[in-house]
Amino acid sequence: MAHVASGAKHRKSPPLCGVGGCTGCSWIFSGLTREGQQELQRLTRSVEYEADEAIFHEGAPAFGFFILCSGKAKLIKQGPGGKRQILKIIGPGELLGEENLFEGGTHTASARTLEPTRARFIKREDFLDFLKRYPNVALQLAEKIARELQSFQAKLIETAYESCRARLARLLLALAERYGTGENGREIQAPISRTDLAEMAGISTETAIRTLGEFEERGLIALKRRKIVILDPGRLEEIAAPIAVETIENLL
Amino acid sequence: MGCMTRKLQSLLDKLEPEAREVVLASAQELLFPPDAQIYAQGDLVDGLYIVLDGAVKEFWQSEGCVQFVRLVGPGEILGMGELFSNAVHTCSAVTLRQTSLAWFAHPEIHKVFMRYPSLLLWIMEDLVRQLGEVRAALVKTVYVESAARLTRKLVEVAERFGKRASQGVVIDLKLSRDEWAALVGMAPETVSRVLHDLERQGWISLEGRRILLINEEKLCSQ
Repeated sequence: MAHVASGAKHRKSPPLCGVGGCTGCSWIFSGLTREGQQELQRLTRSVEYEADEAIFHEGAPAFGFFILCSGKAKLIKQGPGGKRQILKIIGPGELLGEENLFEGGTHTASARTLEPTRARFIKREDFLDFLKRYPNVALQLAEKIARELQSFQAKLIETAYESCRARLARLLLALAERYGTGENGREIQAPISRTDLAEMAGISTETAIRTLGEFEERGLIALKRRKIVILDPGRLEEIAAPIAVETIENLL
Repeated sequence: MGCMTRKLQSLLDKLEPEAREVVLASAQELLFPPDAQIYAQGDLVDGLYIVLDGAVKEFWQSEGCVQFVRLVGPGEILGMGELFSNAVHTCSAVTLRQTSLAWFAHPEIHKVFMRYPSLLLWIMEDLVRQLGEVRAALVKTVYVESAARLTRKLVEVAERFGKRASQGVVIDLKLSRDEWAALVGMAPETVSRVLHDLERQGWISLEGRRILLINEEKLCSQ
């Protein structure tokens, strides 16, 4: 399967947008003139959150758009019977609230921080107006949303066809690729719980715990306190095949 | 004023007048019979295709595997993903019934977007709507039972593309079981099983790939 978006290249060296002294802001704002940077700074305000704090709730009125400057957050959607699905993990430079950009209304998912997080907030009308005056930013935002759409379409296919083991293996590889530290970037430092992993992969927590245990027994990973180490990425990739890792990366 | 212009005008009412005039002045109407290819995966992106009437399926192929991606109907834009990120189409587009399109031909559509941002924002609005739909479908795929999901999708497709007949509403898009499976996010075998269950209950009737929704009330209540 090769329905792969090419987003990874943008994340490796994110350019600075200059907003609020941000050190890793979104490539969506790359190429913005100094005047545009100043305007964006004037239109946005800084918001800070503790770990495990709600940024917004599903069903609450949506007033604007968040640009994450530091930290991480998860975007969660409620399913029937109160069950939850983590749609994506958002890191510095990522955006929150794009689903309400045009029509306002209420948030269709909740956002909650995984660690202390700083963001910039911009009102919906101000941002739409800004996009009209800086179409280059609008074009880059459209590209980002289009890639995310392709990734969700691929994830939908994955969810329908792939086993729980394949989904979890693919998720671990993608997390290591995106957030891995240590030797060869193989350590996933986890503010992400087992329940979070399950809700990201779309499987039950019990299955996630059982499958992680199985992976550890087979020497594919090592489970340590708040840390998962990928020991054998090659064999994990075999389990995760055939959907490409880059596809799911767009949702992390 | 031509039929295409009237239909396009109502679709483009959110655009600034200058952008609307540019699209209206240069858009051409393209008519396709059923099962005709509009463009193929790998073709250069050569403009904007807006569906005026009919139904189109988008799909991609890789290593012998065909993956249905999306069903596109009146008022919607084809090939949204690649308009922004790719120079070539990542999907093929084929008509499911007689279809008319407005084609705004432009080899460098990005330049038009830069000049007329309202056109770009109009397309982004559709993109964001699709994103919301796919996210909702993903949660349903994980948590909603497969029979209920397929039943809801049948009702939704009938509302968008169905034709009223004496016995009910006909979906004559001739979608295969694999294509229904991709639309709903389930295995093709499950699609066949659920469709036959619905037929046994007398709620639908299957004639090859043609589906007649007989008891809409029961289907909607699922």
